[in-house]
Amino acid sequence: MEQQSNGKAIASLILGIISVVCIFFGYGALLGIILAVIGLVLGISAKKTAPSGMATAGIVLSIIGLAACAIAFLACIACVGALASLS
Amino acid sequence: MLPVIHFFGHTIAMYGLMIVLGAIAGVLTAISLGKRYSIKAEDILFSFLYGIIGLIAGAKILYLLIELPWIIENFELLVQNPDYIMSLLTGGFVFYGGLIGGLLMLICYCRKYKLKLYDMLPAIVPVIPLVHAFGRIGCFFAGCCYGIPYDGPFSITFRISDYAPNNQPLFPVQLAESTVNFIIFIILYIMSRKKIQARRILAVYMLMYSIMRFVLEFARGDTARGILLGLSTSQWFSIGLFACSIFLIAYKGKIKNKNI
Repeated sequence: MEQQSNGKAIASLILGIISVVCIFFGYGALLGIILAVIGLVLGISAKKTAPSGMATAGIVLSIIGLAACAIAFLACIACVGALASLS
Repeated sequence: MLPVIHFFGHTIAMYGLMIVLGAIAGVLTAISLGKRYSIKAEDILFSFLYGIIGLIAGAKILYLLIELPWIIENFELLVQNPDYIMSLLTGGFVFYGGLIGGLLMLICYCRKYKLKLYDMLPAIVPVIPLVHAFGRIGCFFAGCCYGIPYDGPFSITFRISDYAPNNQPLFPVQLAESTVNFIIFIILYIMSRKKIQARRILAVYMLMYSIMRFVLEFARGDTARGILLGLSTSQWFSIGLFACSIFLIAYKGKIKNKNI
């Protein structure tokens, strides 16, 4: 059970890191939101079964990724809207 | 009004920023309320995050369902132009979908980790209108969810909005809804601090929000309202929510001995 939980924590950490990186790739923020959500669910599950620093780091990075991607992603609406109004 | 701000060369959308600020304010308030009910801050944070995930998914799914006739009608256009698909995915969230999605995810969290839902509700329910109030300020900045043409006191005129008609005085429906949401939050916060039953807190929220939303929908000027029999989709949901709140209030006699 602890080994499985460790795997979830590692997955959460990796997904959290990727979601943070996605902020810098325009529409990649959509992918960032999806990855951050999966990272959060896995991180919470790992933290609940066997609390570890890695699980906490995964949750924190996923929260940062989710928040930042949400801001960046919603900024893209304005870009699309602006293009639509020009055409 | 102010759709984006520039920060060290980066463009930040005010709508997204307000949502994030609302979520931060919400989770801090929920944690402070949770202490009064001896709920661990960790459980409040995690259930809140589950709720946020459900909120995003639910709000988007309901928006896409409302837009389904348009999507079917313009399917070829969408396939040819990926920008329209991205526009559909990014733009448009329906609050009632988010409310249902958020509550379902909260139930999922409580079931998965064997927590009592009714223990969590007094800490979580009051922050729903708080986050929503911040979101409506975000709508105001972005210029979406705008009001009907109106030339009276407190009217607002957008100059650089991509959504609202520019240079035309409009009813400030976003700010009106935000103000009422803040008032609802204060009432629920006081109720929660006084340890009033979770069922009553939930019922009061559903009752006040449904009435407010039903009335303010008449002041909405944006066209994507999903009109059915003269009422918008949100007004139909308001009627349903109102009925549920009455049921919750009326049902008290039979469940008064339970902790809800």
